[in-house]
Amino acid sequence: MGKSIWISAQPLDRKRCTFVADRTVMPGGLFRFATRSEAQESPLAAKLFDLPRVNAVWITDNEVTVTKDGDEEWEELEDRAIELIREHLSAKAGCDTDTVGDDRVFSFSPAMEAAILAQPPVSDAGAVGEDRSPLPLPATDLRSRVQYVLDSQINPAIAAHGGFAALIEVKDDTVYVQLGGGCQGCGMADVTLKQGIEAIVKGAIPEVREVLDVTDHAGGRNPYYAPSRK
Amino acid sequence: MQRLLLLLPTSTYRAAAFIGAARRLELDLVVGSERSHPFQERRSGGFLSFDFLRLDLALREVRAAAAVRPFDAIVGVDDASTELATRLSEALALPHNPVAAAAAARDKYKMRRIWDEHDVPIPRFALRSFEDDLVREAARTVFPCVVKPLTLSASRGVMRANDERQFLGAVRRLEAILRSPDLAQEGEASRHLLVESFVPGREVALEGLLSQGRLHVLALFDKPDPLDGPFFEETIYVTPSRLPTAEQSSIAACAAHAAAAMGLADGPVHAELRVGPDGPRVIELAARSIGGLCSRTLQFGTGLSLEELILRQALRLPIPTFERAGGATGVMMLPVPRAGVLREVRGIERALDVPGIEDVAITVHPDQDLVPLPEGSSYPGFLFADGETPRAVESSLREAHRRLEFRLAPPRASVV
Repeated sequence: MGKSIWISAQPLDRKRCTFVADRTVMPGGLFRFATRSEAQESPLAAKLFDLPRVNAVWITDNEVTVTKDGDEEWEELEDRAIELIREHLSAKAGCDTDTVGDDRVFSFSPAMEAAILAQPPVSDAGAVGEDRSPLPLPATDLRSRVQYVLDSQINPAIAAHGGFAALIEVKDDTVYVQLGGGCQGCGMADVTLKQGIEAIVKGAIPEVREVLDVTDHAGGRNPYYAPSRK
Repeated sequence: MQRLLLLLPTSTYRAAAFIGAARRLELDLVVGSERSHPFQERRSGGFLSFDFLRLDLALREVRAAAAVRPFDAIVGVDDASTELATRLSEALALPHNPVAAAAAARDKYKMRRIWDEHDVPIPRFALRSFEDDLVREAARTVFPCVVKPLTLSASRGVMRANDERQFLGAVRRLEAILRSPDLAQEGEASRHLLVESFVPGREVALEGLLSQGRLHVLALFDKPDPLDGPFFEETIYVTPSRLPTAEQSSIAACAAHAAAAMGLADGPVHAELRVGPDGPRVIELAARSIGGLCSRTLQFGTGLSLEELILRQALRLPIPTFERAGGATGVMMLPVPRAGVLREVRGIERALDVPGIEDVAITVHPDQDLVPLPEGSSYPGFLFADGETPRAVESSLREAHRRLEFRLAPPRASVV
């Protein structure tokens, strides 16, 4: 029974799911594939984009985060994404794969087990307090880590209001973001920034002290909430 | 670290100011709103959402959050959220104004009944129903009068009538406003209207903070543009007031009397008064702070914002001073030039170049319908100015406004 590769699925919500493998999926930092054309640079990302409603893929080290449109449960896509990741890793390693039960745990061949045990453990940096990040952050520079949090945790959430947050600059311990779409000019933009974005970024990256908004809110064309007097 | 539940309706202009104040006070902040926030699932400790009109549902959510960690105060930012904050505070045994006082502060008729019983100087008033025989009511109305909704603020729905024909027109127009979809939650209040005698004279606004029943006057604003109708669009507010000191004292005493009569003892107060030959007359008093972005004009002591004072008072933190800092200051709530669809606002840089102008904040967006009073519910924006004297501030605001140009397309057919 030549079995290998362990992958777990961790849905964050109905739009985001992170798949954590027992080995490196893609070494060398954080890779973002925000469009189908960008995904052509990676065979795995390209295949994941072929799944229904998938709109972005992030790959770093041993994890793959997939975001999708719609509020359907992850159950169906989860299995298919795991299968694609498994095929990708199998092709790289030349090992057999098979599922065991519903928890998507794979067992290893003795040779692969030895190789896996030789790998360093997966970091769980970024897991802090209430705003614990469920995602291991890539061990890269501060800007990349902030970008990763924006991409994987912030933007998928505010996309529900047609908004997005773009990283403008990281200077010392201060992050500068620009809000767009439904967030630009929104009456609740400060709530989103301070109660949401800043809290989540600081929770994931403790060395960040502050997140500041450099948005021209007067230029917003379609704010999600417009203030009014009643 | 003290824990604050801040009730922020999604339509508020006040979010930035209160969030900033809570941050400067390093509070553990929970934002309660009537709609779920996109981060609510991710940061359940930072957000609550519940129907602001359903005390039972709100209380269930707030009690659950308080069980995890108790709140030290619950603060609302507008009329409706302030009343809800009072009711929630009562249920959680937190410091609060009497619920009856908070309810009266939201209802123009209830507050006038109380004032009348306590000899607070006010205009003559009467409650009318849209189901009344309004032709008969018009015949027994003394003119000029002012027709008002019971609950709206910022002059929305307020109209002057000089004769029976105008009265009937104003009542029908107000009824239509109260039937608009965004006011569907007004409930019983939307079936009635207030008819009040028109008081000639200047109008002023008093910003105050009540603390254990004592009214601290934070600012008295002159409104130099005449507010004589037919609608009452507020524009320029300038402080300090240019009225004689004795008259200012009389206004403060009148506002304090009105607040005390209602039973308000703590928290912010925003009062509007008419000052005629017979002295001041209270025409409105709300248990909240000034609306829109106007509070940006006010700083206290070494730079405390109005919202910091309010939160400090709510949390029973020391308030270093109630003294306003700086010289003359003012704000202009930009009037809606006419009905239409906003294409662009020109002249912002030229307006900013006017000496004394501190900021130009445009709060409408391209393609937004601009609707004038009495129907309209959005301020196009705000001008802020500082200066050596109130007169200089007023001049700066007028010149900056003159340099702004709102380019509008014709109104859409569906917009009133």
